[in-house]
Amino acid sequence: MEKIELVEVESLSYWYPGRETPAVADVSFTMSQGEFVLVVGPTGSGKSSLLKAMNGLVPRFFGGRMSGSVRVCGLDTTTAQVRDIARKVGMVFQDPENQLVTESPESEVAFGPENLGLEPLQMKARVEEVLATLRLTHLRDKRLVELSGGEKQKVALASVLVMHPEVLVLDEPTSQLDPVSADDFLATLRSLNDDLGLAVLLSEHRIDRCLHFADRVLVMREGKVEFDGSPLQMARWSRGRAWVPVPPVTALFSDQNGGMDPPLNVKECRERIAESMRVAPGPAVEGPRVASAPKSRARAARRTPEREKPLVETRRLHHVYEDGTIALTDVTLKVFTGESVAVVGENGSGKTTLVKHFNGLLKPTRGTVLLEGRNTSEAEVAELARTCGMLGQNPNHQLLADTTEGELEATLDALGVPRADRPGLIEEVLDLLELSGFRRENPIDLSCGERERVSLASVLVYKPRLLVLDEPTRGVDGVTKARIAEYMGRYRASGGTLVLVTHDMELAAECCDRVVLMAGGRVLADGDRNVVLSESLFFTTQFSKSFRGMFPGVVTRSDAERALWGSR
Amino acid sequence: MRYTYRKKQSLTHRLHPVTQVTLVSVLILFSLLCDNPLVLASIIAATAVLAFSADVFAEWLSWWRLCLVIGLLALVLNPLLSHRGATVLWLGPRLPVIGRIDITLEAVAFGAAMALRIVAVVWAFALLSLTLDPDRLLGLLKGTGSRSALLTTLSLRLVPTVARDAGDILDAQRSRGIALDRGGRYRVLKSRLPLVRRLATTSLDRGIGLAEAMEARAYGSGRRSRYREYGVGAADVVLLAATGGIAALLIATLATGTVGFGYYPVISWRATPLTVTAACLPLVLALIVLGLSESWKRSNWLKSRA
Repeated sequence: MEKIELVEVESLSYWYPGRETPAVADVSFTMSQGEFVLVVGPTGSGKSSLLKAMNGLVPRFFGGRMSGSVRVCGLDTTTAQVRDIARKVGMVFQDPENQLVTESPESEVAFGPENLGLEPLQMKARVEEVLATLRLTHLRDKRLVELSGGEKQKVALASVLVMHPEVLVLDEPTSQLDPVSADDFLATLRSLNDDLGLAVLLSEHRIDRCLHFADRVLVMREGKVEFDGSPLQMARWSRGRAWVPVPPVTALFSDQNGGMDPPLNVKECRERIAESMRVAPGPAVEGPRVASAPKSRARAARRTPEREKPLVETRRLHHVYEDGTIALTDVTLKVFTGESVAVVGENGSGKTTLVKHFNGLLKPTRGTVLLEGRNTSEAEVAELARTCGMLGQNPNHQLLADTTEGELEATLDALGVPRADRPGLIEEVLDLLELSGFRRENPIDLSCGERERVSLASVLVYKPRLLVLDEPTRGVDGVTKARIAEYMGRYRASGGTLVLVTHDMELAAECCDRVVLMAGGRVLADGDRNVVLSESLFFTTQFSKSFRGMFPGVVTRSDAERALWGSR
Repeated sequence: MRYTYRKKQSLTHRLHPVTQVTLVSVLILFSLLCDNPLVLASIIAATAVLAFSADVFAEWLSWWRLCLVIGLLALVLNPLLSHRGATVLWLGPRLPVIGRIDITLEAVAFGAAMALRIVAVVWAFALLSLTLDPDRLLGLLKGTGSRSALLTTLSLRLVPTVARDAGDILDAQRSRGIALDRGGRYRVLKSRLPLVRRLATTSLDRGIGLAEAMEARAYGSGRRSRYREYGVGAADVVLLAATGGIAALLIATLATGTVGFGYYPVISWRATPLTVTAACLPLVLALIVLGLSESWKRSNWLKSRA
């Protein structure tokens, strides 16, 4: 049967206004009805620009120059009416906060049909149908501000589905979500693709969650499509190309050059491990044999005399926000000098609230928080910042100065560091974070990854004893993530203590020795990363899921390599 | 203080937006027109009863801090700044610009009435904000009004987001040791200016993102239709009639001077049974709503009509 091409992109190049280098360079591809196409590549590779060309936002909304053509369902996106394109292409953006217009989910879903001028009865039928399909009916009367990130993103999806598009375009829709919400969102997307035959064009950094159900993958770099093929072909092609994002389990086997095809997901990986170990794979839900798991490094370390006094300690900490939300309940925790602790859990579990107590940004409703033995309730944040450096979720919020150097100066000035000492400290941190070339640049003009590094530098410049990072890899690509992990390693090697709040289980496992799992404002588990992550079914790494029931305590790539091939 | 609307199962929440706005507007209008403290107190009591009948009493009451601050300001400032009144309680010193401070009984009484007036207006507004769905109100507007309505909806929706962004920027700066509250007013202002710039940039980015998303959903591509249709129920008819009747009576009492109250040069008022009855009219209106709400809760027939 002949394929019906829904999307035809021919020699597309696009330049943003005032730019010499094209964001998209000579890209050609087609998409058929019901096809699920994944677009991957580093930040700044042109993925978003390409996706925005699908409904004509590029160049209509952004201006600039475009050559080549984009046809969707027979419509030329540069000449067709906005209303006609909106009926064919539904687009979901990265941040739900920036795409929701009204106050309630029901009004939001109705916004698109209202714009299309549909009749009230037709609108009502569509709205009800979409709310029910995406299981949003129970949220219809809530205010959007009351919804979680995952629920908001589902509302955004519903608000484009209601327009009955033939192509769904999604630009990193899960980058702001926790792992459980992200899985739920992607599962919904997959069922829409399977059940309704909707064509899906998805740009995503969390490739481990969706690679296996894509029909095709486009790999982009510097505006060009470097690869176009099936996920398996892409996995083979990625060998020797470290910049290509592949799931951790795929990378593990890809790099072995054994001639066999690498696994694309946990299921395939379990089969491969069983084959390698010549044992039958056990059920994925079976718990690990924790008794044989590695000894707790963190606990063992804590027994040494110099670590008897914790660097930061919470005693029966409770926090209730002004609106009555109970964020923390009876949290008792000790972090010792030299430790690296990952705080994980779903959105709203109290992770950020907890760490904001460490430097006094939040004061306990009940209980005590001690930083170097000092009660944080009795000290100013500016004083506590000397010991506890903290980097929030959005690096842009950190950046106020006009140059990178100025940003670092501002921190040192605030902390009263003598002028004579400043050049040395600035040079050191610029070297550490490989920012020397950007010292005179305005941080806001830098790329996302570079901005993240400048923000980190503005905290690390004064060498705080405790570094708290809140979601440092949210929405960043694999290359940037690897760099951040490397910097965290260097900070730890210099004797620093690290607390990392993250949804990225791979990062938590690679960078931290100890994991604190939170839910509903309480600490559910606290201990050695291999033990905590092995015991958790969802809040854990791909390696842990793959080795569960066959080899206990495996959570990182090095654990996996040791388990499979010994210490090579 | 809770200021956002949340849908609840009450008659007030189910009323037509015009009915809701009319009801509260009458209370606000008479708070502004009437000087009689009895009427003002009655209006405050009426808003409390209305909040109770709408099941938002706790949220309504949480505005007390704002009421207290503004009310106290009026209570304190009027006697200090007003030189009117015949009964001098205290002869104060002469100050530059303000002149001599003479505290009079009449100025104190007028200040108290002003405080009551402001509290009545604030609490009436609180009631509206807690019970009226902004989407429903703005959905009533058609044609050119719909653009303004959308702009208002967007602004309302983005207020918590911008407030959160501002909080996050402040936290980020404080976390690296930048003390934003130290020094004099000029220094505090100067240290916060870059933050305002960053907040403006962040908000602009959000605005562009939102415009992009709206365009992707065909906003501005032609004639819009309206999702919500608003029917007028039996309760709306009853309450509009009751509100109209009470408003007419209040206008009559104002015109005839039944609820008149003079503050200067000396306090003058009539304490007749008719005055007290007239002063209670706002409360009567609220009790009608309460009665209807209670009946509505128990009657499925009324629920099907409202």
